[in-house]
Amino acid sequence: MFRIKKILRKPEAFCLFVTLVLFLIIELQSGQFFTLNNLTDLLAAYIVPGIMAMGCLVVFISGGLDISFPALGSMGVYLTLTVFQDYTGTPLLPFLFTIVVCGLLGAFNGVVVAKFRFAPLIVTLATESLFWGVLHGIMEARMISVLPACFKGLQETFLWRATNPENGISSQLPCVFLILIAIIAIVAFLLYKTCYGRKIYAVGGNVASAENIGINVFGIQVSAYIISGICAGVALLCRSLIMGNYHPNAAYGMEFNVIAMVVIGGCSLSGGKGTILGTVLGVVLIQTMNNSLNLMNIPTYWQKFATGTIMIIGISMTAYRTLRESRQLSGVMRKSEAVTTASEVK
Amino acid sequence: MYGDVKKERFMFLSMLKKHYYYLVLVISLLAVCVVMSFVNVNFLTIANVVSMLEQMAEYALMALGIMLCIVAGGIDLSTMGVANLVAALSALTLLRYFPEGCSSGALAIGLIVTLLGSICIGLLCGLLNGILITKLGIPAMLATMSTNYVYTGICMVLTEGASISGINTMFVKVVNWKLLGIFPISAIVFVLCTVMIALLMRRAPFGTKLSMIGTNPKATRMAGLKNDKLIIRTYMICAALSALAGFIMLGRLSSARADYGKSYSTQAILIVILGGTDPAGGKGKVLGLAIASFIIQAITTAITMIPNATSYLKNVVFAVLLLGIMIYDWYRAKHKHG
Repeated sequence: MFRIKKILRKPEAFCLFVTLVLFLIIELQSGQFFTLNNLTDLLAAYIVPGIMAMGCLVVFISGGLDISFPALGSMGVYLTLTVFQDYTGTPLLPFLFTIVVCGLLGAFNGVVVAKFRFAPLIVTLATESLFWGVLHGIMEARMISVLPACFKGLQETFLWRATNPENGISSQLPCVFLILIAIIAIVAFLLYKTCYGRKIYAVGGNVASAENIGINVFGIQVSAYIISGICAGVALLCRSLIMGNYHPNAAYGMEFNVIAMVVIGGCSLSGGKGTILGTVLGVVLIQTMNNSLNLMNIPTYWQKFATGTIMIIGISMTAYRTLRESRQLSGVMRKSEAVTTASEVK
Repeated sequence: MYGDVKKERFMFLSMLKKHYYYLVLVISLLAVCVVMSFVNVNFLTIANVVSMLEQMAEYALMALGIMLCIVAGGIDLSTMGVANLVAALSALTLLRYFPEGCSSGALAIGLIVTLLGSICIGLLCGLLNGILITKLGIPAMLATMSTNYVYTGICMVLTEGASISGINTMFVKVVNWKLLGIFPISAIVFVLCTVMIALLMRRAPFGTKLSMIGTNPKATRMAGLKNDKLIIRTYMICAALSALAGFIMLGRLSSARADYGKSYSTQAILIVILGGTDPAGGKGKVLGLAIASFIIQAITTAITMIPNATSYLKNVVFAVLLLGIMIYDWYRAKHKHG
């Protein structure tokens, strides 16, 4: 009984509960939710924010904050698509190129934050402005409507195709869904099964004590930003593959959505906390909602307001719980302090 | 006698050292102006300076509010949302109740009603921000980011995604009125607000308490200060200033839209940091902020005057400036402490 209570108290349980309720509401409203083609569409919609959220999660756990990743990814993908314009070999090479470029850009973020110990919000706000500025002002990015030929195979491979028997609408699951699963697996392995992952948690929990036990704080923080950059680049390249085109402003303003997903999943902004499961549930919750506003007959103009309100409610639930827990904790500490001082007096 | 001279020189030096930062800011402002007047002869004409003053007031007012939040250890990213929301509401009110061609008396009432209404709505938005941050414990950045989403969303509903135009031309004239034909009313409002905030920070207990909260919130709570109340008030002031900015924006552009001024938020934060406010909280400089807003406006105008330059170049310059100034400050602080 006690164990169940403990599980129920976790943010993941809350997230799961809200997601299930949301599923039910959408189903009751539209009757279209549990159709195969809608579920396929949803799975396809999770790909981009899901990959981004994994990078964001790592930065959050390390005690940092990155809001520049959509700009960073857009820049990296634009570079890749222009460099490999006429390339017809294996699609692996462009992916590697994106990973290297976005990793380097992420490293820039990380070095500035970790070396000077600046507020990460201000630094990434500045680099976001920098990346958008360079993308539009210096590289003069335009929409690319024809992707390099090397991606043709990836674009035309689908894992499965589902057709709605009622209205004949069919939807397919692109094969880049496998990349999402691979990235989740890699990040989960890094965080839970390696020493490196424990170090990320340690740095996020308390920088000073992490430094004292001999962890290379600078390296860990920089690596977290690199992972965030790589994830953003891969995510936006996947987006281009799914959509079949590239638009420089496609990811504009996406950072807020992704951060909200990670936070609703129980990750704290002060670092050291956060789970893969929670983040995945957060992605499912927010992205399902974003995708289903049409199914629920919410007018277009109201959608931004609706998403914002639900995000505030979700974030405040998580935040309020941590606030209450910390208050309870400080209450316990005060009691124990009183006991120790009393025993000292004796 | 010799000693006096020496003492005076020391005083001058110490004054210089104390206000060193302002000196750097003023020199860089002059440098931008001189360089730009070589590039384009029209840069230092009265007409151009006046138009610069007009544009400046909007995000400089937001920067004032954001500075208060940063001093208190938080940040406000919802300023643009508040400004656009207020602008849309005022525009709708003016359109419905004080349309084109209403009497000047009615217009005066309309002006006062919309101005007061704007500030009240601003205060309400700030109250919501403050409550989310203090009572629910959401980090300031997340809370204001999500309320920005909500305010923009409400604005979207009000404007139905289009821009509201066709508001009373007399209203536009009044808001764009210039004292002696030179000083735009928006710049005067900005100066008044700057003086008020400077007094609040320097001469009132509020400023000291705010700095203390920004430095160590736990200590102030132990010392018996009501942190929550103070922080809520700070966000209310910030949102009221943003509302004022939105009102002025409505007058200048004579239309309202949900996505005006996307880059203003970054710009305002840049002004605050450039002005010498510590991003980690606890220290604010109002005068530095005023000079910094001149510099930023000068650079913005300069970039629009350079031929073949897109407005996105502005973002690059701002980002490099922001990072540069922070790194420069870091080296100075390191040097000072050895």
